[in-house]
Amino acid sequence: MKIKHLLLGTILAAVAGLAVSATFSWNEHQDAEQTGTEASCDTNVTKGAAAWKQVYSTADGLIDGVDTIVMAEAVSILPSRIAVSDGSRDELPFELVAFRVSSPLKDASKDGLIYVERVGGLDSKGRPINIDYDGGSFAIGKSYLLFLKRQEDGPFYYQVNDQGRYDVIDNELIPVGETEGDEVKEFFKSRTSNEALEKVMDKLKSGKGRK
Amino acid sequence: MKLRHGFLIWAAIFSLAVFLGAPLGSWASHRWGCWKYADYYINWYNGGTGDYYNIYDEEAKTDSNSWSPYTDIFLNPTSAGSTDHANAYNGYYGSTGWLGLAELRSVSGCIVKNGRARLNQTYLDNGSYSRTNKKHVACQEIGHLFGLEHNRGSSTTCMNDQILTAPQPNSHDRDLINSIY
Repeated sequence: MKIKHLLLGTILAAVAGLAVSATFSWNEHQDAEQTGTEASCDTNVTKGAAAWKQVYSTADGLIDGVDTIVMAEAVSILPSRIAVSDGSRDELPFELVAFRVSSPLKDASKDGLIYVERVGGLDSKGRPINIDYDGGSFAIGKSYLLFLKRQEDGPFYYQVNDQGRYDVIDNELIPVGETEGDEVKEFFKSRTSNEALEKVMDKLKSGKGRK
Repeated sequence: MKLRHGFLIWAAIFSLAVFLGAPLGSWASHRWGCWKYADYYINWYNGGTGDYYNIYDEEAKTDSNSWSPYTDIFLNPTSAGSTDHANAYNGYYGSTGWLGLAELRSVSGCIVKNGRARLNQTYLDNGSYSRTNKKHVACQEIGHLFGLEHNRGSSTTCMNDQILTAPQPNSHDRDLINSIY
């Protein structure tokens, strides 16, 4: 084989390889666009993304880092405060979601009520804010596995971040938000409720809930 | 050289190209859904107060590697609004768990008409966060408004939500923004 042919073949092989990569990437891109389009068709949802105060790299870190862990059912949603920006140029409404605890895992009582405050509800002009930065609005009657922290400046709890909420659907845990590459969400994803409860209890008992 | 050796080399080159090409395609995964403004010309309202006004301005327009000069996006300073607007605010929003929040309102299909970035002074002003940290959060919220998702794969971008020490977009963000707009 001549050198010229070898070089030509090498270039063709490299181009073909890159073309295959590009094809896969384009398909992924199209899927992402499609997903976004479908999601955005729900005009009642305001898209949201948060820079969380705390993001955990392991499930142990999450379990250790939060104040309260519960499996609980959402029982009511009430309006809470409306925060105003510095300079009063913008406002942000909050709502209170009441949960009845079915499985207290950390610092909670069975059948007790806990209140979680999140962005949502109506602003002062009556416009609804239904934002999904934390997984979106809770549905009354549905169950969730929640990792919560107590407000430093108030009587309620807040969801620690989007790693701290799992919707229970058909007895299976569904994480919210981006999942890819998130070890904490991957840990809980697709586990049954009982499995997840056992895992959390095991970690709490063994004292492995470390960051 | 025999033809068989040539095929082996070409197979190796092909595999290497596929392997090396895959990360190049990862840009798609850092896109936030399909959301974007109608075009690169976006009305910019800086509703920040005190040093937050400066932080927003630096991250949006005045730092050399901030969103507007570094990417194809053009930010047109104007008053608050809801048509092709990116609005930025700060306030004491309380113990919410978040340092910053980006909100896309008035979404029609994939097109955003009104985005809002907010910085939470309840945390950011508690003494635990440096100015660089605040700039990182501001940069990230603005990046969300333009259609970018978190990116934990790089420590040089403000879109990484696991660090607070990179108060600027990186070349990956620039390329992605320029591919969107």
